[in-house]
Amino acid sequence: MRRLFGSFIDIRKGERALTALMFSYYYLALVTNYFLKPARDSLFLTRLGAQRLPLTFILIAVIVLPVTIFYIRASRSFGLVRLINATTAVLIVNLVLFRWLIPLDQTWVYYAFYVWVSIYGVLITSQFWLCANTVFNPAQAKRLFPLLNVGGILGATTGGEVTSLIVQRFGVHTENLLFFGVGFLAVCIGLLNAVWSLRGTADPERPVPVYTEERGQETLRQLFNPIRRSRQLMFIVGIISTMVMVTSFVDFQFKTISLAAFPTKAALTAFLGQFYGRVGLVTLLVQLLLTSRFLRVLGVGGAILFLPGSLVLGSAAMFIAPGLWTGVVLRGADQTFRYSINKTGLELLFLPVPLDLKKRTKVVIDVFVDQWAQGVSGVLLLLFTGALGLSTRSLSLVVIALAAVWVVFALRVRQEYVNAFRKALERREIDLGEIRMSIGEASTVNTLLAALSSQNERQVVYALDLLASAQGVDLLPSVQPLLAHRSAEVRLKALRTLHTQELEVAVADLERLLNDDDPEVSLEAMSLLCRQTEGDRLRRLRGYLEHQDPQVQSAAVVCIAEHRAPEERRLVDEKMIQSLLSRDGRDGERVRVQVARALGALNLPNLRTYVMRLMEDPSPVVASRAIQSAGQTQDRLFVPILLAKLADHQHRANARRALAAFGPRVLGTLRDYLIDETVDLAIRRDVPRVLRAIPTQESVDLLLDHIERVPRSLKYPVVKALNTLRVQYPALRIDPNAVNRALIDEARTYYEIVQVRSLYRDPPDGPAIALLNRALAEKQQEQVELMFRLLGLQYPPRDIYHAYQGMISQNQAVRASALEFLDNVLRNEAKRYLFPILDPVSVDDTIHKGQELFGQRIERREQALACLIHGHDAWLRACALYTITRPVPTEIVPLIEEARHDPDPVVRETASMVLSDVSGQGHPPLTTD
Amino acid sequence: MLTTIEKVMFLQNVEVFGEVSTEHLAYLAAIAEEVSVVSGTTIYREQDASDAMYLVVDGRVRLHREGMEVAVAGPKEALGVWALFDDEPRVVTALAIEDTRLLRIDKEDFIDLLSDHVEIIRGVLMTLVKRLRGLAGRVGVEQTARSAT
Repeated sequence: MRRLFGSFIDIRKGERALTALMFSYYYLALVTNYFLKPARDSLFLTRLGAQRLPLTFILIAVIVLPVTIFYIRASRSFGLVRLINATTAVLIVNLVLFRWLIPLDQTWVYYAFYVWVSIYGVLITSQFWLCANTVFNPAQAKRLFPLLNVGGILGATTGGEVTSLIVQRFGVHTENLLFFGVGFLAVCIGLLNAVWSLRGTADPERPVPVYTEERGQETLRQLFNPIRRSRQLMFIVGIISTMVMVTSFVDFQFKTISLAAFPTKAALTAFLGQFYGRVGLVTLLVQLLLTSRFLRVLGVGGAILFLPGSLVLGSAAMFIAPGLWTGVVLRGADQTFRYSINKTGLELLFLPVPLDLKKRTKVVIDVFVDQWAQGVSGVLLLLFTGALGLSTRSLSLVVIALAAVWVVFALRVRQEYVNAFRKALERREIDLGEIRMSIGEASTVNTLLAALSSQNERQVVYALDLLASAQGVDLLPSVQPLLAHRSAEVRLKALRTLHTQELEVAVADLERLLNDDDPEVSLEAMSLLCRQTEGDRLRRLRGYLEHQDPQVQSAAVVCIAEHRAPEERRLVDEKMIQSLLSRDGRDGERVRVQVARALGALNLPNLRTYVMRLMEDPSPVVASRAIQSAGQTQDRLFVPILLAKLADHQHRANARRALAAFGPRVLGTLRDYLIDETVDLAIRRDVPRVLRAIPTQESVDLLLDHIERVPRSLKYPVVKALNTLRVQYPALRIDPNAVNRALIDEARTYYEIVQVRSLYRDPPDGPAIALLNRALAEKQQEQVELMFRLLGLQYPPRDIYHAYQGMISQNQAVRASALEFLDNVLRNEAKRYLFPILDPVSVDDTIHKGQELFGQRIERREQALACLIHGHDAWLRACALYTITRPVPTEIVPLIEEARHDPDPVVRETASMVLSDVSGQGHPPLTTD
Repeated sequence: MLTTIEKVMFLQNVEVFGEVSTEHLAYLAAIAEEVSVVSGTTIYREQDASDAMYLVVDGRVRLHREGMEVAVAGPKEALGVWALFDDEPRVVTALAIEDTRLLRIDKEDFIDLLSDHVEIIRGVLMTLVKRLRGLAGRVGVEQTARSAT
């Protein structure tokens, strides 16, 4: 069960409430849709008859597209919440209006309502996904969207079933279903606003980001050009066109038959409600239980042929025995397989299409082709049923003919798919994440298995990577021969694939690899051996531990330590560790690495001294492994040693990971180190990077608390750590007030620098002043980056990143767009401080604005010097001191004296030099002029 | 002895460090060692291992290859800069033709420093990219001129 639903229930801490709200929102939106669809159909059919349906197909095709485009454009200009609230409010008003209009019994009202419900379906779904894409980041989307999809399907099922129930059992009039819609939509507004208030730090009023890949300016011809150039895409267009036409014909047949069987409004509404509801349920079951198995057995070709095949059979049945049940089966098969097996198959066809081409063409195909085919089918239906007078039964022959064309396209595209896939594999262009979702598909697997015998080593490794997650495929015959491959990487990947797939391999084959030249291969072989059930395992393990080759011995120690039960772990004792560590020579280092690794997994208090010893091993590889093991033990004894290792660039990364492994328990100590001025700056600079690897609210709060307290050189790493946490864990709360305070503080510094710099701008008198000027200019740039990073903590990080790139661009047009974007996005307070910086009229104007905002006035060089020497930036202190020449203003002398005791060595050194120079004690004049 | 900030004054003239911020040049200055040589001293020879770069503070250095003078480096000019980035042996011999004061940046120290200050790598890369763009632009202009004739 867990395996079945595993992919739907991966909700992490902090995501539950948000997911529940979004799930409910989508559920209710779809319930409403499935209340309205049966109402729409029965009102239209009972009043105007099925023969008028083709006209609605044409109307929908003509109207839906401009409405969608209008909506997308509106979404770029307005805040998302404002847009969705307004749209939903308009939909509610529309529903009330239709409820009032329907009893007037005007023909146009039925047409309008039919088209309106179709637009509602498109709008409410795109609105939801627009919202979901804003609320969740891509990593969350991968995990949570399948679950949200289930919410939609359940909504569709409930909507249909409940409609049928309340109309049939409780005698609710079809028209009154619109009131339910009004109620549900009102709840949707409440849910959406709850979503935003829960999300907290994000700005709900921001417009939907404009992505660069959107090509709004391109003409239709330009959009279709890449499709025309690809045979595969042309076949896909052919499939979708014929599919939409066939399903429109089937829809027409079904509705005509339904009307004949249920001539009254209430009965027809109840029947259609039940039909839609049950079809939704069957679709869910088919998707969950059958689609992946079907794909494994028949592959993508089978998947895309299944729907036309079913419809040909269903239409043949309709021709032979037309009736309600045949209609239900035909339309039911159409709806069920179209949104399960067929949809998955169609999505797979895009897999080998290069990513850029896919991005450019998929939306075009999904939106334009679908709508175009819908319109054409309306015209054809008018022709066949009106001009040619074909009966519902005879239409089945047209459906069969169209489905035959569809089958031809499907057969041709299958061949293209395999060819394209093979080429993409050669070029390694396939997205790993994407293919892992569909790796069971038969032709994909066969192509990958064939790639395993390639002469190209990289291709073999790549295919093994892709196959590692394949399910229900017998990989052993193809993968086992690779254990003797000349490449160590291939041998290792093959072992890992066998491991992941939990396959039993002959012990003798694995034992041959224990002496492999590559230690990773021998370790992986040992790991597989430890898992094998063949023979007496305990005896075998003892044998490896007593083996004469220390490499085999140490690999067995690692394996037992990492994978085995406590009774087997007791086989490894201190004496054995001592004996292994006493080995020297060529294998000594290799053995020590394995021992260091095993010590972490064993995590025994009596072996801590060996971990410490290995942390100081002369071999960096051994020391690195021991550092990782120290983290694994989570013994606080190691914390000070690990913190000291942060200053060592060779071991810094491992020390960070090891410290992060302690989790929140180590936060207090990290805080102490961060603020302790006596601690080496190299260590303090790395503390925020450790904190960002402990993704808890406490880490965020700690970092936020110290943005303003740490020296300038630490500010950047602190903010950067917060940026990372914000992007990777959006559920963590970042106090907007703290960020705002920091932002204002940085703005103050910026204005201060501008004022100081203006006093040195011309004439550029001397190299010392030129150096100070350059340092100030660099600081200005750094300040801007820091302020954007702070904005990234309050607003969507990706948008702010793009805005920053735009602002620093040399291209005036790009800068202007970025500025315009920020003008729309930022709150007024942020704009007040930032806009004079980002969009300066002149230096004097910026200075004036700074003075207005902060009241700080720096009007003389002496003041500027004092300001810099008293400032938090050590490098600016040194540069400012360096500009001092004789005669020294009296107010500056004590500052130089003070700087001789500065914590920063460069400042101290410069102060001493300046002092001896100005007091004429022999320091040579500068020679760099 | 030069102070750190004075070393920065020299380092900012080295083209390859042109895009490195002055603050980060101060870290480079910290590993730059001041070396004095008398006239006639060979600083390095052709085919020697490239283990450091030099910057002339005062004095003059003659660069020659197989007896042919290639250049003479004076104050603020750098020698053997690319030694910091590749392992190829020296292509010229550097000989002090006056009493000379130099700043020497050891390759190993430089690599260690880069691992601590990635911003220096970014600055160096920016300079290299600018150079490449300049070259590409020049090649484009030359090709256009050639095809026009």
